[in-house]
Amino acid sequence: MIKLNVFVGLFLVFGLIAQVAPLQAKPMSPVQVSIWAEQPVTPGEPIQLVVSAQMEVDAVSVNMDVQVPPGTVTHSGPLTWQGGLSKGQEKQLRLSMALPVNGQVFVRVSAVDSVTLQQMTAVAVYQASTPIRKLADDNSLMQRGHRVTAADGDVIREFFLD
Amino acid sequence: MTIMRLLFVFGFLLLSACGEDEKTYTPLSVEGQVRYEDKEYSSNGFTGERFLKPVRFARVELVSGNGRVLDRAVADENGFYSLRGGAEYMYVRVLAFAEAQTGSTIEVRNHSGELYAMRQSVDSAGGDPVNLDMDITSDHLISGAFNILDVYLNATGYISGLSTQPMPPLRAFWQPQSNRYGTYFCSSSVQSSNCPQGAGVYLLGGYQSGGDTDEYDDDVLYHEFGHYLESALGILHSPGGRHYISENDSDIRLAWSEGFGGFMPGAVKSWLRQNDSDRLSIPPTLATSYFIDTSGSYAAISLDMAAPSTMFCSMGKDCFVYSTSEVSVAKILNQLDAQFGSRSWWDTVVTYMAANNRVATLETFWDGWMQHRFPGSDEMALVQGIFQDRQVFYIDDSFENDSTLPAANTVVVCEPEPCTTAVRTLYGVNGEVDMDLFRFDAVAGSSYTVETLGLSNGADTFIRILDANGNLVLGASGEPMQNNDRPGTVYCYPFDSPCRVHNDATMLSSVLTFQPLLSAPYWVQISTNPNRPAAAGRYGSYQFKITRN
Repeated sequence: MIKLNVFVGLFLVFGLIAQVAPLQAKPMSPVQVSIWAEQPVTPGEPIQLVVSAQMEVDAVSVNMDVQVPPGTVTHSGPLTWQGGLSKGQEKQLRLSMALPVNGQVFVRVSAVDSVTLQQMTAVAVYQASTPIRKLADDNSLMQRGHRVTAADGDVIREFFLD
Repeated sequence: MTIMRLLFVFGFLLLSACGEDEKTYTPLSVEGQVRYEDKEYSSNGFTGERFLKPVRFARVELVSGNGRVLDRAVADENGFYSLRGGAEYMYVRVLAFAEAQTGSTIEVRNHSGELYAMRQSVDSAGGDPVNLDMDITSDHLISGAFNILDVYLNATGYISGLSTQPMPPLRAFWQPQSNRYGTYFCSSSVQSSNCPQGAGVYLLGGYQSGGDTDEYDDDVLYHEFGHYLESALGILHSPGGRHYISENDSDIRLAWSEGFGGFMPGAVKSWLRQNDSDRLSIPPTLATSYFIDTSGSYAAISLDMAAPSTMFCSMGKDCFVYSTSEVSVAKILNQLDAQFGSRSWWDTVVTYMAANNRVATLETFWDGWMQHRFPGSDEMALVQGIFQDRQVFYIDDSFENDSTLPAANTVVVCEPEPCTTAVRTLYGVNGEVDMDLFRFDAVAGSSYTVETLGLSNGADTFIRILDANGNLVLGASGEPMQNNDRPGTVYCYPFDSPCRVHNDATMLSSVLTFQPLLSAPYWVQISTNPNRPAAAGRYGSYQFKITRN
């Protein structure tokens, strides 16, 4: 019983360590952008898109640029915007357009120092008709290779060059 | 009879185990060069230029059709290999595995821990030796694995010039098209949901599942190498987590760690530019101090760590300052590296911070520099210039020495309208606690607000009011006249997720309302908070003000 308790205790301790072990992540861009349809999309009808940009820092000059696919009929709304954004401030563009089947709307938000070309940029994509494919699992790439076990027990994922 | 039967069965099994490969086929020499295609990037992202580089020091194996390794070699610095063996069918396998100059191994694996390898069949029709060159172009699914390998060979090559200390294995777990997403380093060998293979650099996500996996983002790879190095040296004390590159109120431990990571790309690339510029993935005209993180075809972050643009700062005022800014730390280290050479910072980190188990911050790095190098006046002036350029003041302020009652400076009491305040530092040589004392003449019946403000560089102030005997003054209700943080301070802002200490101008500042019973001189003692959170520093800068209400 004592051994079981010790085992359970160690299990919980190691579980806790695993939970709290910090991740040293790469720096994040302070630019955030998203794009979504405001209402359910009805086939053949114009859609109302909302483009939202937000900065995690104060930025003197921010550019929003919306690119629509060929064949798009734009009914209303600006496709570009430029201005300053303070930290946490959100800028939204509301667009109404009729997109071709499977058309993608691409939005790019950037703050660029035109002299040094230093920049912070983010992009978002809206895909008409069919959503961007979300992979079902982790194995889609791995399955393309050939899994072999080496003599030392290490597992190798071989890919074919020929 | 039974023994004969057993011998027969044993002999049959032995022959079966050997297979027919070696029995039937004459060994051949298989030689060639392995290269991978790298992508050039610049301040706007990938330029579209691609060029072949040798796969250096990778393990190369000659494998038979039944999976037996017939021969094994290590590619040379130009990617050339030579193997020998014989079998009905053979292929050459190049593993994303190399032995680094630091004595460690570098491995690039997928999220499940499987080692990436590229294979190509041996065509022996042309006779002996067989020439088999392998060019892994960038449109191949796993070409990025060999860029990761190459970048980490660069990084370990740079470090091997500074130390012969053996390093632990460096494992990168790269998985494009995975549901999990993110680039980060895990220091713990304990497996967890975020770190299923234990310690290593994780590069996950990308393509259709969103985000990017950074396999060609050398700067991001070098950044994570910085964390690996910290972990290997035992100086990784950062709480980690999400951080924006332009913040300057970070946890002082995180700012150091991320600054160290931010410094590493410039350090390695600068070394490469001097010693082996063909190994770089940037054009000759681009400064090595640029940190570039591409996402798709554009640069999500493109920042010159040596001259970060103030366009990303409020009102265009330089925000890449203080010991609590990762870019500030990176710039300081870059400048020290350029001025005094890489061994200067390396020795400080290893012989002071790591050897004495100091919590790694810019403060302990400074302490180490002072105690390890004993800088003379010329070096001191240069070092102070580098730190003060980033508004980091590890120096006595102009009011020192003011740690005793007689030596205290008398301050002018402000009236309610604004009045000027000077910047003071909490700094003691070799980590000694700095006590700043200010005398002011109080009038009985008046009410005074005594406060610190404008904190920076991780300062966490603690205020006490003393009488002429140096005793702590009590208020009308007997409460001690002392304050750590302003009443109601919570280490969290409404936009925080998760909550954290902000080393900004106000969060760790102090305030007291004082109503003296006697008209007399009093002394305000300001020191660093002895119970400060780990996110704050021992040193730091502040302003001080007494206002008559």
